[in-house]
This record gives sequence, C-alpha cells and structure tokens, in this order.
Amino acid sequence: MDDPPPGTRLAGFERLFVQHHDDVLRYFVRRLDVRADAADLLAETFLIAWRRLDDIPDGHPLPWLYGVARRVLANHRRGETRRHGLADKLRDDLRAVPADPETGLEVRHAADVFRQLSDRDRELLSLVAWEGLDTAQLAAVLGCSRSTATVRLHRARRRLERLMSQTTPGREPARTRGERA
Amino acid sequence: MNTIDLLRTLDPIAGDDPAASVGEESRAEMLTRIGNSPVPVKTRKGAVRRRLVPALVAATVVAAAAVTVVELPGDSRQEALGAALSFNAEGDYLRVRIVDPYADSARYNKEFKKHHLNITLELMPGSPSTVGLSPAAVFGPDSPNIKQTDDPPGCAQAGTFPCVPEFLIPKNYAGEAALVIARAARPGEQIAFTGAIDGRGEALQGVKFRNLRVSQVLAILQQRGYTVPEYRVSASGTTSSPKTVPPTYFVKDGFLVKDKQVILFASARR
Repeated sequence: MDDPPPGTRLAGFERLFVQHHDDVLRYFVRRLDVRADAADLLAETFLIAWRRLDDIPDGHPLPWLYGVARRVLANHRRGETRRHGLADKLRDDLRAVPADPETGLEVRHAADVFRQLSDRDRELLSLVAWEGLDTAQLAAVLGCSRSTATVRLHRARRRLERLMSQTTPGREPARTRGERA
Repeated sequence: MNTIDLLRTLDPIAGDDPAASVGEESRAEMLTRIGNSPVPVKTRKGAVRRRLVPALVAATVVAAAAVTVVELPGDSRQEALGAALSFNAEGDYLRVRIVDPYADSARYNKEFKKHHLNITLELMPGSPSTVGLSPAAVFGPDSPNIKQTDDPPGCAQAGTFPCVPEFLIPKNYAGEAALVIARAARPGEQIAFTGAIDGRGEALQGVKFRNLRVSQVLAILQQRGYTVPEYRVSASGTTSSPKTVPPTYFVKDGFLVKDKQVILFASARR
C-alpha cells in the first residue's frame, strides 16, 4: 500500500492531536508528582503517534495512545525521560502547583489503601476509574484479550476490597501472609 | 458506593483539570513542530527496495562514497564497513553500543538479527542540541525491560559530546522494539527532532530571544547565516504559516527545519 499524501497524513494527525491531547495530558498528570513533567511525556507520546500513524487502529486511537503513554511513563520512572524543546511552552503552562483539596476521612483512608496495592493493580483500577475505560479498551491498552483484562480487573478489585475491609480509617492495614506491601 | 466509584473520588485532578491551563499557543506549537518532523522510512521489504534502488543507481554514478548510505539489506559490502553496533554480555543482559552513528538502519537491523533480536534501530536527523539523544521509542509487550543510558558513564566528563546512547537488552528478549536516536543532519536534510532554539549549538544559542521584535531576531539570525522561510502565528485558536510578518511582531519561539533554516513563532502581542 502506498503512503497517503503528506497533507492527508498531517490532517489525520491533527485530528488525533486535537481530540486526544487533553486525555493523554490528564493521564500523565494523574500519575506524576511534578505536573510540569507531563509536558515532555506528552510530547514523546505524540511524536511516537506521528511516526507510527499507520499502526493506530481505525476508530480506536485512545486505548492505543494510552498503551504508548504507559511505556513512556515506565521509561520516565526509570529516569530515562528525554527533554523535548517542543514541550517548553507546555511545561511553562503546567508549572502552577494545584492546591491540595480538603478530603474527608473515608477518602483519605481509601487513598492510603490504594497506595498499598501493587503498581500493576493500581494502574488497572486507575485506567477504569479515572480514564473511564471499559474492559475492551482496557484489553487494548494492556495488549491482552478482553477476558484476561476482565479477570485481572476483577482480581485487582478483590485485592483492594480485601485491604479496605482489613483496615479502619486512620490505622495501618493488617497484612495477610505472603501479600505484597 | 462501589470500589470504582470510591476510586473516582481519588482522581488527583478532580476539580483541577490540567488541560484548562494549557494555552492555544502551546497546543499549536507542539502540533506544528511534531507535524514538521519527517516520517520514518518504512522497513517493509518492498518499500525499502522501491526507495533505495534508484538511490543506489544514482549513487554509483555520482560518488562511490555515497554508497555507504544506500546499502540494500543483505548486501555483502556491509561487512566491509565493519560493525555498526557492539554487543557485550553482562549477566542476563546484552550491552549494545552504537559504534557507527552514521550507519543506515539495515546495517543495525542485520546485526540485531545476528543476535536473534527483533529490534530495529534508526538514526534520524536532529538539531545540534538533540544529537545523541533518543527522542523515541520502545514498543512491544516486553520492551520496558530494555534499559537505555543516554549518557554512558565517563562520557560527560570526557567532554566527548554528544554522548552515544547504550542499551541493555535482556538476552532472552523475544519481543519487538523500535529505537530511535538523533544524529547530526546532513546539509539540506530536514530535521526530525528539534531542541530548544537557544540550546547548545542551535541558531539562537546564548540569545534571550523571547519577546524580542522579529526585526531584532532576524538581524541576529542573518548575522549567523540563518534564514526564516516561514513563521507561525497563532490567533483565536488557529495557527497560520505566513512567509512574512510585520517586523514589530514579538518572537515567542522557533525551531530549526534544516541546516540554516529556522521557523519562528511570532505574535502581535508581547
């Protein structure tokens, strides 16, 4: 198959960028301690999307973008972030530090327990609760079958619920033997 | 409240959407700059041959030296060029280092294949401050296991800028990965990856250019041998690409498109 004309390619990318810039930005900001770091990661994700535009599934670009974003974030956590000149302005926009919201005891307890989960469980649950993915989209992000994604999500929920029931607000959770801290 | 509903209350950005703080100018700049970077040459066999065969014919007529950049996959002359990569075993990993930063993708890929690795490595033209950096990318279900070092130990101290990146790849790695490194651009070649325009070796290195008048920045660029074939002007959520702008406009940013050609972001407002 021949490549599409450059104008068509650019128009396709522009559509993707305009529609999903904010979704991908929110994905990174939710998972980073320093909000401005999201600028480089966002730039890297869309640079990859531009280079691999032909690989993006028709009609379902967002799970694909989240899949790339997960790997970009994993690289960042290993200290391998590249600084992009093309993200300078966005970095400046994101420098403002948001105020800490007032939270009730129940929510603080849930947050404490959520942090006890493994990275993998936290990511699964976050993709569903924060990014609003269904299991088909979750499967696309994780690169597994829908049934595998469903089972993994179910297990993550069970582990969270078990931890919640083992603790009361303001107290450390009692750990089950062999369970990950 | 079920578990997922409870987790929604933990959303770190609930009531404080970061997208609201991103200006139109930032969006336009990133979109324009990514859209200005070239698309990589596809490595599908047919596509490679269609593109490279005419180049090979032309190269043999023009200059024998040029043949090094148009080798066809599997060409026996590759061996005469020596190794493009070095592979050293380190425990469960292979340390891969780029020996020839100007080799073409086919040479790298052939050497990866010799080590039973389904990995592609491509060097793409970068602006001076990005040379040696890796702007993208790893793919495949297991590729997060690949570790990358942008500044190998001792490189910065030795002052051998740019530092050549190294990769640690699990010996049993069975997935796919596509790695990209920025290299110095050849004359006339379009830049794929751009660094900050006032960065090391860039067109406005050492110049505090933000909010200078277009006429002032043009004077500096002309003195340094650069031209500005186009501008980007954002207003009311759209970005235009005029060939000229009023000299009283303010410069907001810029980037290199090819050797000695710069695109400037300009605005009527400071």
